[in-house]
Amino acid sequence: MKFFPLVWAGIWRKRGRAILTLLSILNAFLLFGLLQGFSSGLNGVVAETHADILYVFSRVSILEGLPIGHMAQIRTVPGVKAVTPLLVFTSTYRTPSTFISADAIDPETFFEAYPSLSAPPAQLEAMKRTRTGALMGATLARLHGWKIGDTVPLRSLFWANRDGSPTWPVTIVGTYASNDPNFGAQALLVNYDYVDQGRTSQNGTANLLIIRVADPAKAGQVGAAVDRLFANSPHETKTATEGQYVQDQIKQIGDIGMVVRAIMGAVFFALLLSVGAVMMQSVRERTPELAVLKTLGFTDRGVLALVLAETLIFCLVSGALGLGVAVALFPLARNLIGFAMHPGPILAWGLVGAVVLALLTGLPPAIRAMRLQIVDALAGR
Amino acid sequence: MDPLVSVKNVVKRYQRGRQIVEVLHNLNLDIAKGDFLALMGPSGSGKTTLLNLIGGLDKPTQGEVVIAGERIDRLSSGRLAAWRARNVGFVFQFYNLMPTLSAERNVELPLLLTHLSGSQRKQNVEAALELVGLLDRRRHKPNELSGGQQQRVAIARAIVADPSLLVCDEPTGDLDRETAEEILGLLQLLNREQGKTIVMVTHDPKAAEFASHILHLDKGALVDAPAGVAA
Repeated sequence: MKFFPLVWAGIWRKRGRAILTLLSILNAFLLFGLLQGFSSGLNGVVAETHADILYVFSRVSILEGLPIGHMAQIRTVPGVKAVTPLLVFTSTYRTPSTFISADAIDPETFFEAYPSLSAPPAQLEAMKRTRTGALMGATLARLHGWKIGDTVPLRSLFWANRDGSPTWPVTIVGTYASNDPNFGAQALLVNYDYVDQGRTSQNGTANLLIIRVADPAKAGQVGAAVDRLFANSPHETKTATEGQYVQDQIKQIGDIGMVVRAIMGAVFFALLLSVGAVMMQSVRERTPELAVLKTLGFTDRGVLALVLAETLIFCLVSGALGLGVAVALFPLARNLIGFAMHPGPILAWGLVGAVVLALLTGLPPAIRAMRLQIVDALAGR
Repeated sequence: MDPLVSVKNVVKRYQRGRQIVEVLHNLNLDIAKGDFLALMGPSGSGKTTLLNLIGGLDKPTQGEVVIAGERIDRLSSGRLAAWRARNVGFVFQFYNLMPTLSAERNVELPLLLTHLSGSQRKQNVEAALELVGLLDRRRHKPNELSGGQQQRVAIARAIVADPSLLVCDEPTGDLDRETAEEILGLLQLLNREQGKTIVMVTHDPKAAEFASHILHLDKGALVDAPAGVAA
């Protein structure tokens, strides 16, 4: 600790340059934190899926609707506890860029098949009674200031109303609660019948049929049995566990992990060159000062340790600040991307990255400082 | 009485490009404990080279450098560094203070290599700064001090670990006459009152007058005093 003031003074010797270098490292670690948080958040989404939930969708494409008539046959498969339709009803509200994550569901069966979500009985009854009824998540309600009784005009991205317009007025009748980290409180649930009977195409279909199985261990068998039921029919199905389904969706975006690694590789390589050049310049400028330290009795290794300590502290402080800002932004990011980002391993890996950066950028100038010949350095040679 | 510094048959050669230059030729010199010696001579005569050998900053090509009975030319780089920290204080022409550190932090530097506690280090630093008359400027950085004040801080740094030998390379070369005399008076005081052995390189005959002995170097060898210069 007694050497800390000396190390700290060395770091801030050129204040402007130190601040700019700190900002560039901070920026890189902020990016690292956000990208890794996003990546690990996606892994978390898969990890937190339900083993007893199966998604049935068209073998052709999820955009291709499945007849809801399939549900009656699915209910006959042993091990099926409940089944419910879900129609994607993504809409905008007020402006074309204000998206509402809305799903059309059957209030009679949805909460039985998907028990992670619930609604107060009176509000659920109101939903069943009100054709245009909708249940909102608490976050969505806060975001738009909606309250029960409000009529909200949604503009569907996919479905036109019978009058030809994409506008679907819905009436808020209650709030649903969720203990599912993957299905947050930022969605809106509307009546399937209202949308299905009001739209002009693909009536009687749903994007997903959600099955809840009695025994999660037999989910695979149930899924296979469902797919066998509709094999060689005009509407063949593909059944996947919720985890497999989410994984497939993520894969459609691309190999997120590889993209993150590629971006970070490029960023850290650039950082390595710029910070390395700054550290080298900093030591070169201080040649006489380092020679004086050696004159006073600092050993070669002592001077090496001082320069390394400077880069280590500098990179750790800058990296920790960047990671701290990233973690502070995680809650905001959740509202933006719809799932939680996890800081756990990111902080540890980030700090390891800062140490590696410090060693790679600090070692060459530190070795140069260590090898400094006092007499030559004092003479300006 | 055994001398504090004994330089025996010392030869120092440097490689300058393809040339090998012999700067000191078979030089012998004894400096008694408590002496204040001024080394004079023209540029390139080997004054600073000899001073560097005595201060343990460099090693001779041949010969021995014995300080207080210890052959410092045989010490490894690490041991020599530790020896310097314990036994020698350095004062340079251009002060060579750390620009980012306050006066007290500069003076504390040699003590960081000791086992003294923080409060003991503070006590010693304050004593050294008081001795050079700069205790009230202890929190000032070098660029907030005059040249004379910076050299006083450098002297405080040189004596704070209580070394027996002070090695001064043109300590007044960057100062005006009045300030130079103050600094030389301070060195004289340290020599007389605290018994520090001082070896000072200087070009200035007036500065050399503050020493108790003057030696002249020319072309790498000790010579008799030139005409008109008291030795």
